[in-house]
Parts: sequence; C-alpha cells; structure tokens
Amino acid sequence: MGQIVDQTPHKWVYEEIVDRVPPFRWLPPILDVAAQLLLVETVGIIAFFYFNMPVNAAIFGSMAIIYTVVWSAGCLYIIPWLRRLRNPTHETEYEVLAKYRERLFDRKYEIGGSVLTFVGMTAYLFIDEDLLRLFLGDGYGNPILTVLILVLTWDISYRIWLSVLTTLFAASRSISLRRAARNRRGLEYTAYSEVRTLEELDVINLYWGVSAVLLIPIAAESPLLLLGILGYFVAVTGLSGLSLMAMETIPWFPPDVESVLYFEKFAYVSACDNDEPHTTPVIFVYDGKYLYFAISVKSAKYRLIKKNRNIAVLVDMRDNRKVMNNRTLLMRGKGLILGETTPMGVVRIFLNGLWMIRLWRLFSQKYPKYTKYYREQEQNLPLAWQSKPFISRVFVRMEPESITYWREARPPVGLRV
Amino acid sequence: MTTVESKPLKHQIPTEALQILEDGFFAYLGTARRPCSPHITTMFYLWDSERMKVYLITSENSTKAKNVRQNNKVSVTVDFRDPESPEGNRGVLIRGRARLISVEEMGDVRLNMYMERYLSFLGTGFPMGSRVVIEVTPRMLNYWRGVRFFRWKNPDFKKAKSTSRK
Repeated sequence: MGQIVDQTPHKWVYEEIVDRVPPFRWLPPILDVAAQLLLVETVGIIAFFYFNMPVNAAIFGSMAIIYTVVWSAGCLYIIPWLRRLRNPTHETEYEVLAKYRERLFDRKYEIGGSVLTFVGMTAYLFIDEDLLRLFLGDGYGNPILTVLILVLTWDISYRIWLSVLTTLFAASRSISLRRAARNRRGLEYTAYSEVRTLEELDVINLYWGVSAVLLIPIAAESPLLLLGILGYFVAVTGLSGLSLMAMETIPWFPPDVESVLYFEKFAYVSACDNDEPHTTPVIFVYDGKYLYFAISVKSAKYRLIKKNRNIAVLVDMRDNRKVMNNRTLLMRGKGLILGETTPMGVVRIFLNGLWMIRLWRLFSQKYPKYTKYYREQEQNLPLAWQSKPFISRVFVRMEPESITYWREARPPVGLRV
Repeated sequence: MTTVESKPLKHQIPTEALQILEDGFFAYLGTARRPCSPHITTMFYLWDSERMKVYLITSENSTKAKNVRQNNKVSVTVDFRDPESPEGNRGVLIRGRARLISVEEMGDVRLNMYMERYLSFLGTGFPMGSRVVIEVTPRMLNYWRGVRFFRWKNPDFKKAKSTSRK
C-alpha cells in the first residue's frame, strides 16, 4: 500500500516540448529556462532593431518574455513533485487525488482553454489596433513581426490559462480532500509528505498568480486588458490561498493515532547528550497537526535539543486495569524550539505568533491544574519555572521523520511521513 | 519535569528514589543510534539494589538490542505521574552503560524475580530462545519529586567502561 505509482498518463504540452525538442531536451531544467530566455530575448532584440520599434516595445516585450520564463521555471519545478505523489490509504481521499491528477493532465482542458484564451486575446489585439500600433510603431503590419507577436501571445495565453486551470483544480481537490479526511476511520490517512507536496503545488500556483504583475505595464495601455490581468491575479492568488488553508487543516495522523494524542497526558522525550540518551516525561498537546511539549529554558532537555535536534517522543496509552492493552506511538525526528528570545526565535514567534497563543490555550485546557499550580506557586518556584511565556518556558514542536504505532501485541505499523 | 535548581551531588541515593525503582512497573528505555538518534520503548525491568544494576529483557533482533550493540550509552526512566498536578510527579532517570548478556548469565535468582513480577503479563510459553538481557550499570541518577531535583553519581562507575566506538 502506498507505493509510488505514476499514474499520470499525460504530460503538459510544455513538458513535451522540453522533453523532445532540441536544445531543450539535452539540458537540465535550470538551463532549459535560461535557454528559453536567451532564445526568445535574442529574437526579440533582433526584431527590435530590424523593425525600429519604439523603446516601450523593448521594455514591455521583455517583461512579457520574462513572465513566460518565470512561469516555465515554476512548471519545471513542480513536475517532479507531481510524479512523486503517493496514494492515501483512505479510499475516498485516494479517489480525490486520482481525479485531480487526471483532470490536471487532461489534454482537452489544457489545449481547449489555451486556444480559447489565445483566440480571445488575438482577436482583441487585432480589433483594437491602437495597442499594437503603440508598441510596434513602424513595424505594424509586417508579416514576420505579426507572427512573432502571435507566438508571444500564444505563450502568454497558454500559461495564463494553465495557471487558472491548475488553481481551480487545486482548490477543488483541497476542499474535497479535507471533507473526505473527516470520514477517516482506524488507520486511514494521507501521509504528511503528500499533504506537503500538494501545498508546494499550491505555492507554485500562487507564484504564477503573482508573476502576472509583469504583464501589468503592457495591459495598462488598455482598460480591458488591465481588468483581465487584475482579475486573473485576484482569482489565482485568492484561490491558491484558499487551497493552502484547506490543506493546512487536514490532520495527517489517522484517527486511531489521533485519539492517543488527544487523550494521553504524558509523553516521554529522549534527547541526545553526546550519544547518551536522556529520557524524561513531559506534558504535551496535539493541535491536530503536530505534537508540542513544553520545557523550561533552564532544563537539561533545552540545552540538549539546542545542541542536537534529534529527539524521540513516545506516547504510550495504557489501560490501568489491563496494562497490556496499550496503544503506543513512537516518533523520531527533530525538535523545533518555539518561544525563545534569540533573534531566530523572535522571527519564529513572529511567523507562528497566533499559533503559539493557541498552544498556550491548549495547554491550559488539557492541564488546568498544572497551569494553575505554576501560576499560584509562582513566587515560590525557581525562576525557570515561573509562568512567564517567552521568557522561561518554550515549546518544542516534534517534526517526525519516522512514526511507528503499536496496538497491544500486534506487529507495529510504520506510518509514512 | 525537572528544574536545574540542582542540589550538590549526593553520594547516597535517596530512599525515595530507590523505592520508585522497587515499586515501578514499567521502565522507559532510551537507546541511541550514532550519530545521536534516540529511540524509546516501554519495558518490563528489574532493579537489583544489591548490585545496583537494571535488567531488561528483549528480543535479540529488536531495535534496542541493535542500538546497544552499536552504542552502549542508554538511559532508563521509571516514574509515577500525576495528571492533575506536578506536585505528584516523582521519578528516576538512570543514565549509564549497557551490555548485552544471555538469559543464563542473568542468573536464576534474578530471572525468577523478574518472572514473578510480570508472570501474569507474559502469557504462556515465554520464548527464551531469542531473548537477550540488557544489563545497565548506572553512571548518574537523577531523581525528581514535584519540581525538586536531585542528582547522584555512581562512585563505583569507572570511566573506562564506556565503549563509544566513534
């Protein structure tokens, strides 16, 4: 279950070109992008001089070319990620992802939409002559130049369309996935690396949306085009943002494991001290995504984790009456310290700020007497233990690299991270 | 839940700490694969107060046994937790060196003590064949009660025992 299955039957046209057409097929992705820029820009510069085009044309033309290259870079970045997607163990989630992949590479959506966008843009350019006259100057009407403009227009249309398409499909996929995740049972889950991959794709969609600002100067000359570009910008950035938010709230532990994390009161954390493990119990919370435990900045654990981030966390839920009925989770990975007042720590607080407030609330909800005790005993406690957030107590987020789950005497289950 | 308001190293382990080791049911064994990748498991254990050693039985092929073969530095934690208030927490953390010995080497007396303690949980036909015993010699012992903290260093522990193969 969960092997890498490349079920993508298609590639995008752009990908096919990069794979087959020399010189692109011989170059690694980064050079492909550089080659594209070089080639197209050279053609543009030659045209600029030969046709005596106004300076505006050179500037805006170059920006349009840069837009296409920036898009291509994003595309080449995410293609390997898409191929690497593995299957969720939950059937409904699996179906959502399979459908997403299929639609994403469906030629009729890809080409159909691009052609429509291209036809629309071209029609506009030739109906409203002013724009082209402005840019091409004397060259207006020349057949070769017209062909070059058409090629550039196609390049832009294809990319604009494809980013709209991928963003729409992504938003739909994220929302369906999140809904499906609510119905998980037992050990069904979608591995975190898959969720992270899908989030990367959303980030690329966002990047594509934002790069449309390169087209604004050209579009500025025409209210209709400007409206179109701005509309595109808002739609794509808005939808990718929505998609990212949906993905962020998908729990990535299966329900069986989540129940252990919610109910159990103690975890054991082992940090490493010069190859010697140092294992102590901690209180912790689970926020639906990560496990966080609290430690004092004066404790040995803090010192050790700062020096070496490798930790192991064991959450062992046992029935007091039948101690052999256990459900145990062992996570091994790295600890990320949140709440320190070091420069890097402050950056992290800034990035995670609201989240950390939520953590404090989760802790006081789960351990009301602990929180109350620390507050009441504040005067008597040693300095390190006083309930001052950000100064003496920090959180450590467990970032797992391997997860094993045991249930009673059954063989352990490794959960993919 | 320890602070570092640490008392001076004691030469005698507090009786409360020894009591925890006697009364505890589960021990949490921490092992580490080099370079410093920790691993924890819950285990049955035996505290031999005469020899001041901990014995834990595990399968020869388990991750812990493999880790110990590669790196003999381990930790054993036995504690009692109070989910309501930190005042009720008390526990012991032993840091030391482990060596793998056979069940026979552990000796009948100790084996019987172990079995007696956990017999009802071991089920019938406890497979001795593939088992190996981890014997832990403490180097340092931390004891906590509530938010108070004590540290003890084993005066008999010789540094030469550490076989850290780097």
